[in-house]
Amino acid sequence: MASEEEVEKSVSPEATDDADRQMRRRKRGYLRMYYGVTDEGTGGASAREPANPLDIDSSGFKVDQYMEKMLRNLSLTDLYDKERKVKKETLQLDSNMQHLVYENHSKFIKASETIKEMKDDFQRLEDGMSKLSSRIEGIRSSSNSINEALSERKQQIAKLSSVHHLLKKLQFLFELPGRLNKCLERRAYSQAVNYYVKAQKVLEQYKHLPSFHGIQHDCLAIIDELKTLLKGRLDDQQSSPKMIAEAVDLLLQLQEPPQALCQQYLDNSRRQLESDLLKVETAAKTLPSSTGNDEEDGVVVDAVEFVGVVCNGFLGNMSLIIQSCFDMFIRKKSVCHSTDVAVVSKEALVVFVQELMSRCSSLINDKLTLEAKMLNSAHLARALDRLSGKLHTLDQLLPSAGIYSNCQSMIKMVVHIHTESHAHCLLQNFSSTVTDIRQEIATFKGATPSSTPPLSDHSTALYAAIKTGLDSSLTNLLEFISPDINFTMQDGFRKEFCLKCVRQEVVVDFLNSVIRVCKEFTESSRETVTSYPPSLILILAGVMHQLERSHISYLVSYADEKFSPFEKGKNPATPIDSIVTEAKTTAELLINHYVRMQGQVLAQMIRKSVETRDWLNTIEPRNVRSVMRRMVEEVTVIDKQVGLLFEEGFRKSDGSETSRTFTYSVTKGGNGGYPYSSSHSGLGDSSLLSNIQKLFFEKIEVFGNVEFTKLSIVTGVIKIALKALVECVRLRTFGKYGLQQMQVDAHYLQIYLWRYVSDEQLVRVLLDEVISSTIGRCRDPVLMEQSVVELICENS
Amino acid sequence: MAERVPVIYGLEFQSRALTSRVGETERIQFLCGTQTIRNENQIHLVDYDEETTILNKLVYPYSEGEIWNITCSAADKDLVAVTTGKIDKEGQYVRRANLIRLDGGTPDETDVGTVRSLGELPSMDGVQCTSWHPAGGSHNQLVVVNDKANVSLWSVDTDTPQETSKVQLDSRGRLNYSSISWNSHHNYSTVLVTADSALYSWDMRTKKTHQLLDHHHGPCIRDIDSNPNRPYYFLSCGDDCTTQFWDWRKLQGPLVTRRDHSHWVWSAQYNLSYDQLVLSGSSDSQVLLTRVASVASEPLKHLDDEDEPALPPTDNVISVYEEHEDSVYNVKWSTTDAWVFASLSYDGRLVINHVPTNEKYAILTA
Repeated sequence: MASEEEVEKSVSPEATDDADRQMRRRKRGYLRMYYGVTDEGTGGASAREPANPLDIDSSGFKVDQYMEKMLRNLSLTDLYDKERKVKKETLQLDSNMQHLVYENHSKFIKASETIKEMKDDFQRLEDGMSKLSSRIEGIRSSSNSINEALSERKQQIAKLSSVHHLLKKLQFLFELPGRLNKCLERRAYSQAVNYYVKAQKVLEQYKHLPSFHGIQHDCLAIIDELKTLLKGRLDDQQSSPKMIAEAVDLLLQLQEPPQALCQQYLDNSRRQLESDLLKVETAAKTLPSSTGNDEEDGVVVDAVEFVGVVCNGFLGNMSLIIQSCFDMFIRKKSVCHSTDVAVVSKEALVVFVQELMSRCSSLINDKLTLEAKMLNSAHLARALDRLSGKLHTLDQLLPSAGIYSNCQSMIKMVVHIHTESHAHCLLQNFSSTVTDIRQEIATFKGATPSSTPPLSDHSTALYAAIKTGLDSSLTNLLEFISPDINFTMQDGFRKEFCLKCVRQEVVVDFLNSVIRVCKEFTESSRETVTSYPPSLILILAGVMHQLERSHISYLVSYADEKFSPFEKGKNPATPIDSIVTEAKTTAELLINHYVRMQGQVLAQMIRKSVETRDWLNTIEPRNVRSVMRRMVEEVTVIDKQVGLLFEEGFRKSDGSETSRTFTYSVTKGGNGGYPYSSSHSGLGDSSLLSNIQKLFFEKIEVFGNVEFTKLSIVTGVIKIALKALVECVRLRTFGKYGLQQMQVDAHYLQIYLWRYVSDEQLVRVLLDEVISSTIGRCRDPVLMEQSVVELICENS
Repeated sequence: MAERVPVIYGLEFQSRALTSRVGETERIQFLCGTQTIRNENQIHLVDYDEETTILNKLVYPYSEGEIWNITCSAADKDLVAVTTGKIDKEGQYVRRANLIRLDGGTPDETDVGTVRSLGELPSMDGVQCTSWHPAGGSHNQLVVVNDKANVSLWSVDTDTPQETSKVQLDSRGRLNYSSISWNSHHNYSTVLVTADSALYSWDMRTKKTHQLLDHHHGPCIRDIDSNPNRPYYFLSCGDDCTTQFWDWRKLQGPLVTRRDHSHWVWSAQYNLSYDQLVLSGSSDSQVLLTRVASVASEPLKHLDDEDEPALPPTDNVISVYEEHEDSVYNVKWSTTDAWVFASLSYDGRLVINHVPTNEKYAILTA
């Protein structure tokens, strides 16, 4: 507390601010005291705080206490200091007070002087005011007198001016017929109507007066004439829509019944639209096929042009008519006094529009259905887009006619037909390629007998036919979803188009039909067996195999890529596994069919050669029979052909060595031995050997399934041929030389055929079987020396 | 009930002739003939006792030549027609039809029977195959076809055969007449003959022949058989590895094609009582028992059958018999027991088999 006081009292140089503030507060305090104001802030503060008796500034200052405290607390020097300080402060305060009192006194004197001055001024103002009021009173009295003087004249003038107005009106009425006539002459119909409408009410009101009646009569006659003129204009083919609109407007102003007018308007419009429709019809009827040979008819109306005709002619006029109909009858509040008229007119319009639109739709439908089959997607898409856009705007003009929904279903159908015809055309293209290849193969004549048709080319061509056909179709169809075609932008349509139309109906269905077509080649009855060249089957098998392995998934994903831009990565469409499986089975069917066909050809050749020869009385063999050479040739050709389309495949063993050292197992016990004997009697060497061989060699499946490798395919063919040889031999009877001939033949086949088969052992087993069967069917089985056999074969 | 095991019997020589002994009604008997050109041939009478599964045989030595085909008269169980081939004195191979009568003896391991030859059918050279009238009774008739496309009907009521009718097929250039068969309907008035890839019918009432099929089995039809229970239906098999089922009235295409074998099908036969069962033998060494219900005669329905009609049995291979190791050229049903059949492969192995028990009961309870 002591320190506080210290601070408060000290006027240390560093606390001058504080000291100033203290000073001011103190001065204010004195002033307040002087004026008897109890400041809330300070007063409150002083009230709150119990008056500190030690506060030298407080009101509750007790000198005694303060002194006592001082004396008690402070040292002597301090007290001296304090005393000096208090004295100094007291002096300062005194001078301050004096200064204040002086200042305030001079201000009071100045204020009293000012108040005295103001008192004098007010007195002068009061005098001026009284003078002003007396003068205004004078003005008022003189103005009243003037008004009284003029009032009589004013009434007269008003009367006169009203009379003048009436007279003017009457004059207008009297002149009306003349004016109307003039207007009619000048063809200013709207002005005429304007005049008449203005006068009409008055005439109606005063028609009991003979003069007015006459005027009305005249006017009516003229107006009737006008009406007929306007109606004539309505009916007139030449009149422009604007003129018609004007006429209708005027007629409506002339109180013609709107419904009748509307009907008349529609009837007239119908004529116009009929002629447009006729144009559409001619456009639709102009078939490209007929124009080909018809010169004067030679305008090929394609889809875009056709739609142009439709849109510009019929639909344009239609929208114009709907528009003006709305303007004239339906939306015009002034004309349609009740909403009933609007409703009725609208109904009439809807019926009218629907009837004509349905006729037009059927025409469009016919034409576009034709066009849809033309495969020109760009045109069709553009045409449909334009049509759809136009119809959409029409629909917005008149939503209740259901134009757009009809149009959408039609578009859907047309698109459907279009994609279908694409698929159809693709298939036709494929079939014709197949036919072409077939003919080329049939007419093929190589430079050498062993040369083969260019099968790989054909195969490539066939695949190319599939691929490019599909590609061009897809590119064509892409037109439908190109960004400038609006009608496919709707999501539902787009999705359906991409998934159902393109993917399912074009791509998948096409591939399926390709597979089906190929399959049909294997389901041949006897006619087709003979007529299809085996190489064709081979090509088809190759193509099918390729399709199964990679191309189907490629093609489908290619299509998906193009047509599924809106759902990346996720494909809700059906999986392609089933087609691939189907292609696989078909490829297998075809290749097995090929093997069977070729095998049968060889087998038949062998069968004929065995059956027609007298083996019992044949001469000693000098040569390999030509049929065997032919067979080897055939096999070579087959091998070559198959090699063009299929990979080599794997051999079971390296057979080159064995073929060179090959001898018949039967040679050892051949003389007089019976290769087959009953289980009761002892088995000969040869049959034992052959049976053991059989035991270790798995059963040969002759018409088994083959793999898609050259070796496997050719092996299949050879198996069939050799097994046939075995079976045919068993049906014949042989002499010694017959057996030897067979021996030579078999050896020949052995040394030439091993290279074509996957397992050389197989050829060997079958040829063994041939020889042992021949021995079994031989009257006097004596085999030829192996060296001689080899010699003959070498010479051949 | 355990499945019956096959009974296997071996002949000394290669063989392709097999027939059921049609005239025998009590016992299950088969006749097979050997085909060897350098040895004396034999006819084996094989008697199968189903109870004991014991096989008894009786061997008839046959010195006329190798046996291509053997058929047994339905009317006279001892009367047998044997298509015989041999090399004559000029060194030419000749094939003739020999009529023989089997004499004496009961099938026994040791017994040897004797054959009494009734002589060859005169003026028939190059005989391919023969077929007896299936009905037996008073109709002891035989049809024969040779490689000159002559088909003739012989009456063998006495021991001297009489040619009663004959016809020349219009089948120039064809060589294989591998099967001749009576059509068991319409009073047995028609005979079917195969000629290479073609099938001919001979109507013996009108004396007319017709070509029914051609090129349906590749180069050659090997066997035909008429459905014993359903008129107009017959089967054929051949070098295209298929067995096909036909309706005589709709020959544009087969009703059913079974491609179950992997080589030529040489022999096929309907079961005589249950014609949905079809037996076939092939040079892939397999014998197949196939159910071809889709073209079988309607099974007898019980009139009081109120149950849901069961699903019709599908066409399927019932079982594959792999006892043979060489080409099977002949399969035959027993004429005595509908559930027993025999198959003969070229190596002389005769196998007697049964219809699987399941199938048998399925048929009997159907």
